[in-house]
Amino acid sequence: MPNDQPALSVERVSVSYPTNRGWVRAVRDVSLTVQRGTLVGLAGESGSGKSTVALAATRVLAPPAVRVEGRVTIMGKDMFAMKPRELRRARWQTFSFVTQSAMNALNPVMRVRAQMHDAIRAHDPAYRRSSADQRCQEVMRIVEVPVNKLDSFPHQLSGGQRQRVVIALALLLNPELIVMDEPTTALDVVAQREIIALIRHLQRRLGFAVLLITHDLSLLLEVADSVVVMYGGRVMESGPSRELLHDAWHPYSRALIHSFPPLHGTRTRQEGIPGTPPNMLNPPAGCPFAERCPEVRDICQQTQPALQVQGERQVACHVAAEKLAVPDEVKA
Amino acid sequence: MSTAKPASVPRQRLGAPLVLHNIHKRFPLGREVAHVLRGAELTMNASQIVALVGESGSGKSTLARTIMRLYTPEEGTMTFDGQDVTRVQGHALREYRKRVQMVFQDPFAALNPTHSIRTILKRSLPPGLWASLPAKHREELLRDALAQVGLTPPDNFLQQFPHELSGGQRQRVALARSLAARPDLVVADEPVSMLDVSLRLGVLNLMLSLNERFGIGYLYITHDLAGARYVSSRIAVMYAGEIVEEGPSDDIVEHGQHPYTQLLIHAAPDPERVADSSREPQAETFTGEPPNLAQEIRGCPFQFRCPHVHDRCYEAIPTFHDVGSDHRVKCHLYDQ
Repeated sequence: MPNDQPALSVERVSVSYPTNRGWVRAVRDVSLTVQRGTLVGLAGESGSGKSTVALAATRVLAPPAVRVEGRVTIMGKDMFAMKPRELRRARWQTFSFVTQSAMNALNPVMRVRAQMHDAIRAHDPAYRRSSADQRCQEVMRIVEVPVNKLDSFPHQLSGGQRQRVVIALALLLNPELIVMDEPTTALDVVAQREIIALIRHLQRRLGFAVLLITHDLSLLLEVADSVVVMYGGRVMESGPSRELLHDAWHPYSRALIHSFPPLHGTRTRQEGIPGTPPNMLNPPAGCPFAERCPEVRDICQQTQPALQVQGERQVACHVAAEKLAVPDEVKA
Repeated sequence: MSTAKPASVPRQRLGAPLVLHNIHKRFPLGREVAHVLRGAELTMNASQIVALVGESGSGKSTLARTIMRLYTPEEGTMTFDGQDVTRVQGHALREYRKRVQMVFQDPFAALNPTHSIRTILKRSLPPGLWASLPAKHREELLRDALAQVGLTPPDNFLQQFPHELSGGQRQRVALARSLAARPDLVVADEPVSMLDVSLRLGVLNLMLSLNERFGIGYLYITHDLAGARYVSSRIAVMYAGEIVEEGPSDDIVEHGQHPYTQLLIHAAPDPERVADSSREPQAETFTGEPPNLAQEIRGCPFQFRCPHVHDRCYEAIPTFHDVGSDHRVKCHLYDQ
């Protein structure tokens, strides 16, 4: 397997949900790449489609519940071409998924140990009771939860410990990629900080790649190598966190960054973003952000801007496109 | 009478002081008793915005509900505008609640789904006011209430039901409702934590402008230190049922003295911090979780997590020490 292969590659993926008013495209034409051993953040408000991308890319959501177009590869394997048996192999060994509200992701009537054994038995053909047990202890040590908690039920653990156990569960079979959907939303600030530090630490030590989904852009900009900003089912902008923080090109990214009051420095009145996110049942014809954009032009209402690539960065905005001196390449 | 257009009459009064002294509140927990408020002390002026910051389980919401007298404390005293309201009932309690209102965390649960916005607002008016007004002024009153929280044009909203509004709009209705009784002080329990990030600032700015225009004070309860600093002039930090530090907002964030305040500052997301990743692993200097409130704690409640813990912390409960102008902290480190 060539080493330059990305851990996750999402190419022009669209996802639609069936409703009684026909198919609704929750995600349109989304492309993103997670290189091996990097932490990529996917940011967006509720309804922006960020979870849908992750769920569809890992085939948690499958037809007929959704309609998915486009191509996704994880470690070079085409996700949508996999047979159920291959998919079962790939899960946990190639990639794993930490679900939203992971606090409730554990089965309340099974001990932690049994849940871990379940995962190994289902996904590792070489399952043996004794070695699996050893692995359970190892991952508990990795996430810094006392090993004796393996015999606890989830309700006997604190919120932070439960979250750690869910991460331990995802680590069981040494995946190359872990997709984490809002792993810290239900946690307190202090516990959130510990979990994020843990994820970052493990990710550097064990070398897996992470796609971290959250609405907390200020957190992402702090921990992620690069960030993808979604809005109204589309990618608005992506690029290295540092560059995005200080020089975001898309008006939405800028507005979102300015929606978080800074912790230090002088206090100034910030404006937030007027209006509300678009209704995906009736998506706007042009740029989804046009209605709330301070720099809106006529063209924004009419045509959806294409995603422009410039070096490591991408942006989909008519106004930003004008400002970019010479675009390298314009995607159709 | 000026009640017809209450929104446009700025009030020129100094805020009434709210003083909480040594408040204790316990809840039965099976065979045990959870001692949730352990001598909370808080003084604020009803024309200020004060932020109450702490982790979940620190007793923030219990304190808010005690201030609203949804709970009655077992020990301690609470006075508002010079009057003891710790145990008042009946008419006196209603009078108190006219002046102190509350906004709840979850705007999806706080509004009755079977009532229109018109009814929701109408019901929050002081008893008798509605009946005493001529029809024309009634409409105006409701429209003003919506206009002052930025829900325009108000006529559209009056007919709607809560499910037709977005989360941000619902929280604005909740704020409008809290203002209908013309309160001095609004206790806002995490009013933006359930809202989308792009809408949060709008609600915080609304609180700021209502404070500037009408002198309405807020006790803003949150776990987000950056947001607390943004809206408030003072911050009180709560831990295990006590206020452990209070002072001017910038002082608290820049020079927090209590080790717990320092932990909160450290935990707050701060994109500007990134660059040197060498600072990251430091998070591990703090360990542990908030104490079990069902057990009595000897000494300082932060002893289990404090990196500076020493003998005295296990023996005596710390008392407040002044560490700057208007800035005090409850920690044995500042004993001398």
